[in-house]
Amino acid sequence: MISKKVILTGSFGVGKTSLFEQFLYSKFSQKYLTTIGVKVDKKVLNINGKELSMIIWDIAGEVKQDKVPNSYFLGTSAIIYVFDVTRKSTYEELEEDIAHIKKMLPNGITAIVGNKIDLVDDGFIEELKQNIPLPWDLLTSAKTGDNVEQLFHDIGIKLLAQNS
Amino acid sequence: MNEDELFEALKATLLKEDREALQRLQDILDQPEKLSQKMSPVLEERLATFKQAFPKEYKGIIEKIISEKLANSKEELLEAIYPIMGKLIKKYTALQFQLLQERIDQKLKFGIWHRIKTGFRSFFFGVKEDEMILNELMSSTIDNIFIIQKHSGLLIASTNNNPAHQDDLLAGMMTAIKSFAEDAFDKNGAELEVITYDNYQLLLESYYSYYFVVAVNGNISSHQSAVIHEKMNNFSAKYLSRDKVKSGQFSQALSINLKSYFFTNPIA
Repeated sequence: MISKKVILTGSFGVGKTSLFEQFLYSKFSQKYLTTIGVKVDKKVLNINGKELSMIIWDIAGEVKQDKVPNSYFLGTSAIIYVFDVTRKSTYEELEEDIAHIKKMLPNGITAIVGNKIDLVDDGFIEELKQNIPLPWDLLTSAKTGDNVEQLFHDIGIKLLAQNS
Repeated sequence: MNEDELFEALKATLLKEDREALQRLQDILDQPEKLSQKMSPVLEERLATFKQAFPKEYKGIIEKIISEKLANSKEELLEAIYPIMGKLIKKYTALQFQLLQERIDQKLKFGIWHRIKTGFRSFFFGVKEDEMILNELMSSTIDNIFIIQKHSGLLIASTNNNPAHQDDLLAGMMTAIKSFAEDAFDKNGAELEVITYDNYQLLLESYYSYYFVVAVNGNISSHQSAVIHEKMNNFSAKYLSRDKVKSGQFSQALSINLKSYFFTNPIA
């Protein structure tokens, strides 16, 4: 089985943890997230007959990504950056945050994900598209599970391609 | 005498000296001792000239090759140096163990009741009193050993055969804790060496691109700790290289080696 480190990051309260919780293969207690600012979970995927183990570091929300300890980024193959589509403050710094992430991980795979789409309608999404500093890769809902598996699958394909 | 014979006779007369000289040369070539006598002075002279000229002619080239090699092999060099550094640390630990021994000797002088008890046992079992106290304090077992890629926290090898333990998750979480501690108390690149809770200890030994974690259940002496660290260093030197941990993928073969190396040779 191929193993890869994946980071889950973004501002606090965007639903990073709840977004993935129900899909995780196994997980540690939530208390670690508040104690040391990160908890490690695992998601095993089967992509075209190949097993991929994603070791997911769920990082406690920070207003800006440069507040996340640099050592957490090291050795990472992919980063999932989550924002809350209903809260402007969670994507206002998107451009700077992504620039910081790219600087830390020039060869890493980055996915920008807008969460909580169950709370908004299509018109809102259209408006958001005009106002957001960078385009998103996927919109998800932790509540309904919309696109969550798809997100993992897309990243998994990229990770396997990176490995071959 | 026909024409050919005449020609041969003429050749023999004209080439006599050359043929003799050629024969002498052939004799020298066929006999190593004679060849050596002739060649040695020439070779020695050449070698002396070469030795004299070498630093001047080749110094720059050699220096360039070495510095290029060093620059390209920086990581391999660090990988090789880490176990040696570990041995230096071991010496320091041995010193600390000696201090502990002295403290126990002190304790023996003052703990009368305990001394009577252990004295009796020592008498019947034939074990030194201080060794007995040490054993009482330090009965311990190694529960599990991990080799983890340093920054990613990906598990390279572990001795645990039980998949329910989810060693890959533990490896990730230990790396997160290690990174957190090293970031929070940044002391010029110092690395976390031990995590202790209740009667359980995680001994860590860091190398350039990976680190070891030995999970010990029970009390452990400085001496035992030093032995474990030495084993980690020796295992690293014997089985690990940067290439083996580069991919960050779990190695069953390395795990088997790890298990047999640590568990078939009990800790002193």
